[in-house]
Amino acid sequence: MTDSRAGYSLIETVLASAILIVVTGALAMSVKAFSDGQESVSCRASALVIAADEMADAESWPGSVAPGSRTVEVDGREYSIDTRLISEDTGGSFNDLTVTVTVTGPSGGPVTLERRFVESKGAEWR
Amino acid sequence: MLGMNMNPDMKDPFIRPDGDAGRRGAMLVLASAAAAVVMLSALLLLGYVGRMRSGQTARERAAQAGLTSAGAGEWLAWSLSGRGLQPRDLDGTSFESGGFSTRMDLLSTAPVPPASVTIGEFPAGTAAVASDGSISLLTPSGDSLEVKVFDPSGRWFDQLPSLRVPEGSVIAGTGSGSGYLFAVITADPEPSVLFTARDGSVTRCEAPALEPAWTAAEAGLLDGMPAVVLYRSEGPVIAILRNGSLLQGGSAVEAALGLDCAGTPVHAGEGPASIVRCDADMDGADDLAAVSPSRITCFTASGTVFSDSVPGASPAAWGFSRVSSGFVVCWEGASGRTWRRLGWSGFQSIDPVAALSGPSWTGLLHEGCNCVAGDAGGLRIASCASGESMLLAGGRPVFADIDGGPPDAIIWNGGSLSVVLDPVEGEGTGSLWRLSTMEEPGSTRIDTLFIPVYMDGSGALSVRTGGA
Repeated sequence: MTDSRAGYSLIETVLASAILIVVTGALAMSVKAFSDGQESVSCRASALVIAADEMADAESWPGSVAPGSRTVEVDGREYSIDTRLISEDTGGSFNDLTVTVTVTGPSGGPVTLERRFVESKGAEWR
Repeated sequence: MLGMNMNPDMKDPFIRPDGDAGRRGAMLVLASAAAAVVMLSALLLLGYVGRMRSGQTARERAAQAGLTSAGAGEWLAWSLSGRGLQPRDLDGTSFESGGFSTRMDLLSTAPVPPASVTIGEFPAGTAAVASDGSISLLTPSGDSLEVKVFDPSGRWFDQLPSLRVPEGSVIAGTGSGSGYLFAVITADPEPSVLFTARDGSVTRCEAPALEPAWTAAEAGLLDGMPAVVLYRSEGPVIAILRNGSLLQGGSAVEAALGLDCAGTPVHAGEGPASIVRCDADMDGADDLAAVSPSRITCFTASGTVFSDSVPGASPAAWGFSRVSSGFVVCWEGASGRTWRRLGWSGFQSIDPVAALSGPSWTGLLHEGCNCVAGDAGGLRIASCASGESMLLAGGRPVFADIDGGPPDAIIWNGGSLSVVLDPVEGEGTGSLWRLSTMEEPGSTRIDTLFIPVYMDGSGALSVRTGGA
């Protein structure tokens, strides 16, 4: 065996190292993206449940949901709940009430649900 | 740079037992393969994340689509009742909310019978009395009564503490708005009345000897105070107030006429009897009629007392009829049925409208805006316009106001108890709808919705749902 065949050339080593670095970087980024994505989806799933619960309360106990912001803690994470009520006069003795609930968690962006109700004038909802 | 030392003796380029270049090439192939595997894994991870995100987005869109569809259903029901629109006016319309649109398509319309609520099966001996907007179910258990209260609007039961009630006691329910459930009238061990409040608390009132024998009782409020009025065939004889006051004679009649939130009368002792509260003389004030096996006695709010009887006949059916302009009684004897009505000068024979003469009514009748309801082989309604009748439910109906408004019918059929709401309002109009909400391109949420709309005596429309 000659000296030139005792190992790998510099360029081969550089090439192999570059491939390994790129691959390792890509793997790391994908693991990070997976982890972030999982966290984001988990947060959004919790936010959706919170928003759906707020809407269920609004349907079950009309008038129980007040406009404004508040925070709740679910599974160790803090979520902000923003509720907006917009009432439009439809004529007659009813209003068209739109309830919008936006829940924002620590990651994943806000989740917004909207529901329109028929609200009796002079009464607290319907 | 990746040049290999080609051995001209070798035929197979993959077999290089002595070639370092070949080893390097193999190593690079392995490294590339490993890199490709790792990259593939990374791509799979990223794909999985993408699917998780799109799945979550789909769930959020589905939740919003459900809310939009629910809002569309509510809007539809309100449009049919509160706005008085016809189903065909709304066919094909759209409802927008939360960035989604729900299209409402009318599938069919059909008449619907009055809404009914099935309460459940109960053991023999259970009594059901209408009490303050709900139904008290009283089941004997030894010398006690198990008390359950059923709310027909919320469809839930409330269990109250059991009551120690001697055998032979009579329970009179109170009407809607009284705040009390019922009064227990007992003669053992001593005459007394037990007023049971909504919270289950019981107030006991001593009563003097309950003689002479009474045959019917009503519970309600007299000037805001719980009271019980006892009747004999000829009318009210005793009123017992929760504070122990006792009214008799003319005062008992006045108390009976002034009884508010009165429940359905209950009967005791021998012989049938019925107490009817209605504006018998159509002067705007409620009057009182006592129905006994051979005589009708009507106490008007103005103080006049009318009495009527038909030799050889007994009252078979009775009630207030607006289309007949007064309180009517059907007398039944060997010669058949004769209808008489209370007029200004007393009772007179009449030729009844088809809704009265058609079915063989028994007992108390109620008339609404467009039909008569009563017991004719079960709960039946008859159209005031055509006289055509329809059987709504088997069993014997007992009328009581449970949900406010027109009387409702409590019906035992075997061991099964149910309530038909506002039968005097007759049939309603039901419309079946398909609600289509597009969640994603190519994915549409479809809901079907049945909306029964009923008209009350004043012409107002309402949506009323029944079911178990």
